[in-house]
Amino acid sequence: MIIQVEDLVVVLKEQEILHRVNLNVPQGKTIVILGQSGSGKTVLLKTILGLIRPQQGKLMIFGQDMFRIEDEHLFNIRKKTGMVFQSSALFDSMSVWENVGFSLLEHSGLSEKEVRKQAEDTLAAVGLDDAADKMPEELSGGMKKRVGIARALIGRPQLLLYDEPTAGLDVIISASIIKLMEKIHAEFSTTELIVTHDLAIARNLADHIAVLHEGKILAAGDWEQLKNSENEFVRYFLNIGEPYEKENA
Amino acid sequence: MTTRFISSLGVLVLEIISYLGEITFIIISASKKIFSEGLRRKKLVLENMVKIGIDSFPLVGIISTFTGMVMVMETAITLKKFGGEIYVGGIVSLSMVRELGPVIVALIVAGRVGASIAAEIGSMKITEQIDALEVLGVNPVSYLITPRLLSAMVMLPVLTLMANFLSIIGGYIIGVYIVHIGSGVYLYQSFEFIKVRDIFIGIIKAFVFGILIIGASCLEGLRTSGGAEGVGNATTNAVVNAFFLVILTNLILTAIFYFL
Repeated sequence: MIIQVEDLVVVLKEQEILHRVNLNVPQGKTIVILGQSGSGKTVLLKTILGLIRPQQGKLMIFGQDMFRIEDEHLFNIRKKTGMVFQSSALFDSMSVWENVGFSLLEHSGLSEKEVRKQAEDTLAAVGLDDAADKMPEELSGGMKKRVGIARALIGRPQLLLYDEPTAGLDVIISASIIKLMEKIHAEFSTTELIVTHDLAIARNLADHIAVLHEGKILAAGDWEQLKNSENEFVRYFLNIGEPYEKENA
Repeated sequence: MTTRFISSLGVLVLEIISYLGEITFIIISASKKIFSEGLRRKKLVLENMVKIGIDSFPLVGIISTFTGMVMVMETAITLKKFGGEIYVGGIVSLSMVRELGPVIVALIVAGRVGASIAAEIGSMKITEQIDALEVLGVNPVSYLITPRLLSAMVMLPVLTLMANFLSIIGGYIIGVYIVHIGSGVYLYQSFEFIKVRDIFIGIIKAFVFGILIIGASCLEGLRTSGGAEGVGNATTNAVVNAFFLVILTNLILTAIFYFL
């Protein structure tokens, strides 16, 4: 298992955001966490990355216990992991190639010329051949997502985490991003954990889906299994049930 | 009523202690990396030296020159009553070098640069750029704060020296051409009053103010939450806190040097 989560509890500002969450991410698989805004999806991703400290449970990434991890090991985990942020999180003061090559400029010891070459190659792999010298403010939402994906990919990570990769994009651009994610999975053989509210991602990319609601996993399985779920919220969320009433979830 | 007052006072004291603890922690964390990270990131340090120092030159120059001019006129009015206007140059120059020079520079930099640093880091925080730095294996403190701290430690004393020089020139112009003190007398009195120790005290103050301004503004940037409103609040808090810290620290340092 690349990621093992058992009975994970995360409390932020005295509020329990994740309640006894269980999740396994096997190597080479694509796991999708489906949920509404505010369900705790992003908190789960940030906890996995060590950006948020969990309070209870078990969290193992690449065999490392995240409750007892030292900075040096955390750095090694992050080197093997790429993260695509919901807002793309591109550095405003840097050009596109500097954004993509940032981790190499910081840690690899390669020259600026070599890093630029690698950044341009990675940008080409995500379909952005002529954007290297642009600044983030000159890019459209879809292009920013692609640059974010290129930045996550440049270190050839084993694990890719996506936070709402199609949020804020129109249907056509969303479809192109989903295709790109599919291509990356096939080409780079990455293990992926995707948190989203976009059913198209779950339908097209997921090997396994978990539905997160108010910090709890309500149901898990493949698309067909979830369609037949008896949980009213899950059926409603997958657009196959009757209008959902909160107290019945 | 009394209980509520004591309770509010207790909360306020705890908040101040917590704030001072946070700012001390952030300054120490950033200072620890000055020789490794600060010197490795020469480009960032130079960029910040330009933002903090070079870009502040015009404003600091104009304000310190005018302050020197005003100080001479105000002091001359009082000293003329006692026939002591020949001492104007000395008194004004000493006040500028020991007190007003470093304080004026610090307030200008806190208003101009502190606000911009808090806004920049605050925007990075709410757009997840700080998280992205961490995920890419870069410590946000050593990347965002250390270079700014190093730049301020160098540029605040430089700006203060420039402010001292220009305020003396401004004072000289008014003293000689408006108050009609002899040129030689004015300059003699100025340099007779100022000792190397006084210049050194001004520089130490500027150095400390630089650290506090960067600490206060970076802390507010990193504490930003919410959206655009959060960035606005961070900017305001950064300037207000930096002003308060500069004035309070100036009082403490002046008292220390008074007894030394």
